[in-house]
Amino acid sequence: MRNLGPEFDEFVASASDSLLRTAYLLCGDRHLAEDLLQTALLRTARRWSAARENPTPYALRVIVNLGKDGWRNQGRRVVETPLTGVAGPVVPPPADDVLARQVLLAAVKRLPARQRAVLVLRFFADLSVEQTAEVLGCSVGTVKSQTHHALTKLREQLTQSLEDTYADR
Amino acid sequence: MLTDEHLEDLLRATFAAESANLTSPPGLSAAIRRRNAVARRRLTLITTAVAVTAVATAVVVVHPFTEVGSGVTPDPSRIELADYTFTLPASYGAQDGSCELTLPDGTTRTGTPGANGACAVLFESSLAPTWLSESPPDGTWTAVAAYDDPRFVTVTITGRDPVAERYLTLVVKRPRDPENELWVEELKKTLDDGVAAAHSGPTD
Repeated sequence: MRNLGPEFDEFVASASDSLLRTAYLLCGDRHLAEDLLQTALLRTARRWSAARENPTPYALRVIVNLGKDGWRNQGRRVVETPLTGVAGPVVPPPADDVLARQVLLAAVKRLPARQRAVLVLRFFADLSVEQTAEVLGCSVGTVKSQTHHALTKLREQLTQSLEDTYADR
Repeated sequence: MLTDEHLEDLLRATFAAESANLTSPPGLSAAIRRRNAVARRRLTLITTAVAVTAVATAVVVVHPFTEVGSGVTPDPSRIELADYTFTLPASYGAQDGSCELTLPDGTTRTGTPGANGACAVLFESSLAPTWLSESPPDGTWTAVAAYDDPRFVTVTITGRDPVAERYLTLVVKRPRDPENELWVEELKKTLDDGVAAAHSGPTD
């Protein structure tokens, strides 16, 4: 590939971390996220002359489009690692904050890909509504409505799950 | 009822914690890190408020939070066992010294009843809250005690471990002893004075 110059190197160095984390939250798999990042950087490089003014949204758009079905295709991930040599019950009541995060993360995974992407871009990548709309290629109103619908679903599922959990204790 | 703001804070904390599972080159912007830190602290307060009415067992929970972008990632498989002892003083409202420690991976330890209602709990070295034992908590720590339940007192302490560059949250749930408990402000003062926890150090 032709030499893209120091600007591209700076972009890769400065944006790779946040792009990788965003990809991971979108697809739910570390290795797939790394593949998505690599593909996004490659495509950004190919279109560097057009993307160089604002490359991050371009790369994010590639990641969102390629990774929107990633989480849905994932099996149930193992989130606990056994600690050998520790006595005590195997399945204790989890910490409340850990529980809330796990419930929320599971609920996010169940969201439609577009709504999940809106949440990740807005509340992790910290994009504005306008920036999110640009990345997703939709209107500002769509971003707002998708955010509203996603938060409503998450609130319902989180509240229900926590109530069920505490009712069982 | 969770407001949109609370839910957004929960989401930020959840995304930050989940993404912290990745080790990667230098991290997010300072603005995002600050917002994530605030969100984590709010998360603790919110979930404690939700949980306090449903406490059925006495339990101590330790949960490490990794600062996003710090390069330190929790890895339960690397935990070394039995290096520290953390003593919960009677001022937390316990009367029989009973308590449990639940590790992030779901396993539990039972505390050892001590004198005057104190309870000694074994910590993994990588989970030891050094800010509780070796230096006064810095400006990031919070302590909230809840006495809503007549049977239990719940104290949530959150602070940054300056050595390991991560956040630790202790949720202490123990049987109440109204004659031997401190209220919120007294608890804060106790912690601020650095006498809330006794630390025995490595027990080789």
